[in-house]
Amino acid sequence: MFGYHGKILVVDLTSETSHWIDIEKEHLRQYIGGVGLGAYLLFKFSVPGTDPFDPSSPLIFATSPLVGTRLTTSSKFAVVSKSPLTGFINDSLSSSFCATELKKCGCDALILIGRAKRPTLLFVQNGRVDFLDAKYLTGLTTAETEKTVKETLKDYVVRVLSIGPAGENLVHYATISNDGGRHAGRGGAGAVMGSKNLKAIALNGSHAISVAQPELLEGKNRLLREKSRSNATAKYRLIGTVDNLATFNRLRILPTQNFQFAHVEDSEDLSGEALQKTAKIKTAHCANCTIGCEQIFETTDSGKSIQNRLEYETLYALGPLCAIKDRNTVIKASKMCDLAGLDTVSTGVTIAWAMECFEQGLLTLKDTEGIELRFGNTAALIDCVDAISNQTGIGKLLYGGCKKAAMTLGQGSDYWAMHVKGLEMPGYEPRGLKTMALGLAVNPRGACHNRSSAYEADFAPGVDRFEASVEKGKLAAEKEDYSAVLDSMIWCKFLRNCFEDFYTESSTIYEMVTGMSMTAEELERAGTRINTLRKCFNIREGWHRKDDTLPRRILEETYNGIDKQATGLTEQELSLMIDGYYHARGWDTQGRVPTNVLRNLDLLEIVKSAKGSVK
Amino acid sequence: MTKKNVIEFTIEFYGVAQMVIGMKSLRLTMPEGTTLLDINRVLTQQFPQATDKIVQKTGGNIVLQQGHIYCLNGSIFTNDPDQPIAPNDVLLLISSSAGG
Ligand code: SF4
Repeated sequence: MFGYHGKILVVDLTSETSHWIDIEKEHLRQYIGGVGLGAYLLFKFSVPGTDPFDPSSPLIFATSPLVGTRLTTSSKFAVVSKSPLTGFINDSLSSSFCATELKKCGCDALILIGRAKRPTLLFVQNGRVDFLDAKYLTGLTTAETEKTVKETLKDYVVRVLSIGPAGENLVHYATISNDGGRHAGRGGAGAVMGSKNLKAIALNGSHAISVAQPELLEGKNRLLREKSRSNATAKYRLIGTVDNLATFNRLRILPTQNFQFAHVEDSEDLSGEALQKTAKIKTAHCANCTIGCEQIFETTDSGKSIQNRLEYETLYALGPLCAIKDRNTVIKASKMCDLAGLDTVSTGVTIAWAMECFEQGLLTLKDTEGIELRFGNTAALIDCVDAISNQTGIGKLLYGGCKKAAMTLGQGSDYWAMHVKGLEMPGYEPRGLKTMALGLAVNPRGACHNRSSAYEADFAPGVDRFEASVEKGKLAAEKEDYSAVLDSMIWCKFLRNCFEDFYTESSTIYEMVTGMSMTAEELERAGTRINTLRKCFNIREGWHRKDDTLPRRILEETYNGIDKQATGLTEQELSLMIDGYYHARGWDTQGRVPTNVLRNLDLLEIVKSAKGSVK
Repeated sequence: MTKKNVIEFTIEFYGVAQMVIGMKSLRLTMPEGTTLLDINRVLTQQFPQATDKIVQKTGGNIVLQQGHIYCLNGSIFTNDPDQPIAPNDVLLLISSSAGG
């Protein structure tokens, strides 16, 4: 088999056993890999209605056909499970050597079920699986865990996936870390891993990964590599995603002070342009990448050097959203999140909610154990991150994300909880980006800019970003399907502008890798299939149309937009766009997927027959 | 050229454009009827280092390089060379890739 192994490794942590299952070629072709393959496996092997922390809930690591080839930016994998934040499907992507190592172990995906009786280190060497006692790793940060595992195994070529204290403490937005600071970040995969009592996974494989047409593929790769160093990626290479901050601020779409505003005065210190000039120490890149977008920044503010990678989403959530303007604090807080294994977006948004509750008098110094949790208080931000990681003090309220915290606190505090379906909002002000507003509302993962990509439509010529129209439904659906294909092949999103005709080029590459036929139309349909299946999973888990919405603040308040114009989005406008989206997908007015749509997408069999349980 | 035949407007540079041009904004005075094509031409003349990085010559046209886009008055995203500029417009030259 080319591009795939056709095999899934299933590990039961309760019984400390493992076995292999075959996966049919046609299913691989239909779901491609990454988030698509992960969604298929989750749908097939999870028992409907099961809590994400139930031992039977699967935690899936899915590679893709491109992993292990030399194609630029393709060393990526998806982590798929039910999210403890949303109760719906979650898929996170991470990058680098772990992707290749997992595939070299001989599997297209690794499914973990059960719960280990003791803290466990899973050591996967090709087909062999060892369950090692990991008590000595308990409480270690992600970086310490990775280093210690390598030292203990006396194997410096193993690749390590691990959780930090946040995952051990079941913080619902804990990440899984790998390769020195990459994270499967959003949605709480690290908490699911923690619930399995699994501290780390060490991977060491030697299976060859062969491709069907190596020479043709190398030619295509050469072209892509060349383009990956062109103007199309200059933003990512030269400044990184932190570039967004000053632009979004100018466009009045930078969520500030828990979405009260969309602009911050005196933000110069936090801008990507300034960070680049005065705080950047180096650029790094994932394995097998010719772009290299990782911008590493340093602060020596506290007397010692703290270095960390910063992305726009981190900068937004730990910066302006909490009214923090001090870059040193943001770098420090982001480092703490990475070491604890915390999603920076959910962390920042949850803290911003708590700051607003504190300022409104709903939380007191007694609740926060003395933390003066006001907007802009840098020390409070740092203390809060620490409390969340360890589930101490105010962290006991905030560990479940802002939705859960608001449910616990009550008193109308849900008004300030900025999430969709339980997943905290990314750094795009939806009232000033209407296609994005729709994308955030309807995406099965919750408030996710990556799975939606609808912001691309709002930034395109010819689209009125302020207009809420039924036509936005088609745009959002198309962007979502495009993202599903990117995330299933898996290409890095930052390569996307290097394709002249994405579907045609990607389907050709798929054929070169796998030897299986694939047209551009079929690939596009695979994107629709994957999103529809993700939706079917959510429906099975109790989704209703009312879940496709935005936080009340967004729908009830206006903010000062461009030229101080009141900019808003009403519930009626959102509803109109949602109608357009369901219509574009061929779903009924309640967002349910009719049988004929399932049949046309070859989903009828899986949706009707999946019984759950991988045992 | 009499005063009433000219317009004044501002270009603000962000991200890579700011790095390459070396300034944050520029106030320009140009004839009425100025379009983005004219502005692209001015950029190549005043900032030779911008050629191929920010703007490129294709045939008779000078267009924005891939990866960049204009945003007119914070509202309209465009790279149409025929887009007219009005007095006191503010033109943002930003990255066309929003994702992060
Ligand atoms: S562009 Fe950045 S995120 Fe993408 S593969 Fe390269 S280094 Fe990794």
